[in-house]
Amino acid sequence: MKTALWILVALLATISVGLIATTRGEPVNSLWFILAAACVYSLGYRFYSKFLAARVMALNDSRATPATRLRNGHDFEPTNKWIVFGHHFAAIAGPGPLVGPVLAAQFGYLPGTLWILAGAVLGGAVQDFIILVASLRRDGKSLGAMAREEIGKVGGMVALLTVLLIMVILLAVVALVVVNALATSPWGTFTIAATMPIALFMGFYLRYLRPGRVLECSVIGFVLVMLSIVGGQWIALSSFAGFFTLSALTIAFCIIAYGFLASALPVWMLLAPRDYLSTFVKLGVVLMLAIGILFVRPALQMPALTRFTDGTGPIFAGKIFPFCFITIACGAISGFHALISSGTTPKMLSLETHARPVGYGSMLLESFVAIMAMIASCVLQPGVYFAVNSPAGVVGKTAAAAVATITSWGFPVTAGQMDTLARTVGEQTLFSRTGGAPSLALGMAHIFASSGGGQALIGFWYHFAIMFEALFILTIIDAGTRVGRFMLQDLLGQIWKPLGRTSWMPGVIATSAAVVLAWGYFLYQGVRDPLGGINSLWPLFGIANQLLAAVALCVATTILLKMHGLRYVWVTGVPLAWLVTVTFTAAWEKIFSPLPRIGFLAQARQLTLAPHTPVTDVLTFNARLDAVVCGTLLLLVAVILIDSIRVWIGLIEPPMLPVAAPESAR
Amino acid sequence: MTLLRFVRDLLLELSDQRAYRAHLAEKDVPPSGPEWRSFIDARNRRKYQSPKCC
Repeated sequence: MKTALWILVALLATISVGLIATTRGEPVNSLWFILAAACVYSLGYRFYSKFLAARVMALNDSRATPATRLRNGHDFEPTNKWIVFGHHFAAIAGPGPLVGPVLAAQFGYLPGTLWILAGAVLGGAVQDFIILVASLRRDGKSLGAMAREEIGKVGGMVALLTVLLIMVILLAVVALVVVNALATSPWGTFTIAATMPIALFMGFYLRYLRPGRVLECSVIGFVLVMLSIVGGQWIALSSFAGFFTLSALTIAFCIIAYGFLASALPVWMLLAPRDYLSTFVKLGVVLMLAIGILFVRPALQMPALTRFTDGTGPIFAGKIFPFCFITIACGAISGFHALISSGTTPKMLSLETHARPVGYGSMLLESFVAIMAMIASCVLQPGVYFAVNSPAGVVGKTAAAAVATITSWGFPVTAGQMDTLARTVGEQTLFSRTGGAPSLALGMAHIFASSGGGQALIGFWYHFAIMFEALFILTIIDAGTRVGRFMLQDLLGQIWKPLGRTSWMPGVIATSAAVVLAWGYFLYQGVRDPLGGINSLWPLFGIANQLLAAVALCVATTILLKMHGLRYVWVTGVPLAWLVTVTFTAAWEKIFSPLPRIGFLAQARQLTLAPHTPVTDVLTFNARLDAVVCGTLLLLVAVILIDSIRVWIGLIEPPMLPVAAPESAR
Repeated sequence: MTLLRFVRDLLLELSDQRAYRAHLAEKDVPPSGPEWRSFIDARNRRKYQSPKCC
């Protein structure tokens, strides 16, 4: 009976994936995507993860976990597996699985969807699971500590450097997503600005008015945020609209100033209350989106493959290989997850076998979020999708120029259509709102409004979706700046001790400023970029994230070699080989491609040929800086790989046997 | 575990209230402002040592 059921699931997976892959010229209903994802994940979980758990990692519940051995009521605490599952999922789910698929939809829905499904089952979930088990068996050690132990000091140092570099790029790119979503949008800007006093109120409420009542406080915070969305519409239509209609550059400076303040303020005041709120809103919205898609069952308007598979895409330049695979990181495989799998989660598992649903299962759910983001972006008319996501530097600065360019690509759209849409959602314009967030918000608003409330509420839902994205992006910004500050203080404290003290205010201010300036510079560069900063920053972020995944897979491969020799090395070796190929190719192209839209050096060369102005000088410097960052990432991949191969050769080679002395010498 | 109980327990876990209850039980003290502040300050110090995932 069970066998028959699994054969049926396999058949449904084949039919749904086949239909998605072969349909041309007609819209495909989103239910096929849900069915394909559900069947592929079920098969992956039932068979592949079972094989990994039983054979490869040989999970054994008689082996005590750190949570039971080192139980202290704080960090180490045995917890129900589904609670840990929810905790782990909330920790790994960020803006990445939402924004990446939206950007990759420029190739059509097919490449991204196939990569999300295959990448998660065979790569991302495998990495998360194996790193979780490895950490579980090493007292909950971090990825950096495991890299140092398993590969060596160089591996550990590369892991640390990678985390620092990825954080700077990550903070800049997610801040750019928020900037592009809020530029010239008084409604959105008011709503997001209101979350700051709301978070401060929550901080004081929790600390002094009703200490410990986090859920009660979060409900109040949520109601206030909802009111701020409603208030935002009123502001946008009032004489106060001018105060909140800010340019991209002004919003970028506001976010930079905010990042500095939030990093220097006590955690309880701003970061912690907003983190609670964003976690609950995130889980709620993911659930709402899943229900909405099932209820509305929208058809995808985007074709399976667009003309931009040839690398001439307006959102970011480059062919499907390698750029689709670095654009979608978190929904398929993300190195950042390895930090969570070797962070809090292993300290909460009460049994080894719980690592399977938590490590492997959570990643499948994250991948499902990416599929939903792909659906939400592809339910838009392709003309609208490209009008929203294409930078003005590519499609033209006026509405007439933009619609003419986009229509000439075969995706008809009119200025009137865009104007009506903008007015419906309460925006001044929706042209060139790059970054992914506005188009995702449009798709989500369409699904939510179709589920209930109708078109009258589409403006509310659009700004609700923008608030949802901005809320946890801002949490990432202040948490990331703070962590970067700790790392820098740790490093500088070895040179001059006071700088290492987190209680010494001048040190806190100086290091916070240094970290903010680092990501703030990349953000500023992204805002000034005439091709839209996403074109240069998102690939850099994708390369950095996949590099971290390569570090994690190197650690996992070393562990598997030590456990089983060559027998199961393919489990992590194949995803590692794929990631190294993708990362190397992408980084190489981003540096050395002769096409200025792809290669940073070619872009710098082109700028030097243009008439010299202060602006072109800055842009030339930025292009060269991006090339250096990309080169550094390439070098880091090479170092970790060579160091790992050195260790692997030592593990594979049979030990030298002592040579028997010749008879005559006896 | 029923769905409702799961949702409640998950919310308590994500809001740090489960850990706070364990902390109070371990120290055998009643909930109070100073106790919450000392608990949450120590917890936040550990919690925000690692970056949030993308």
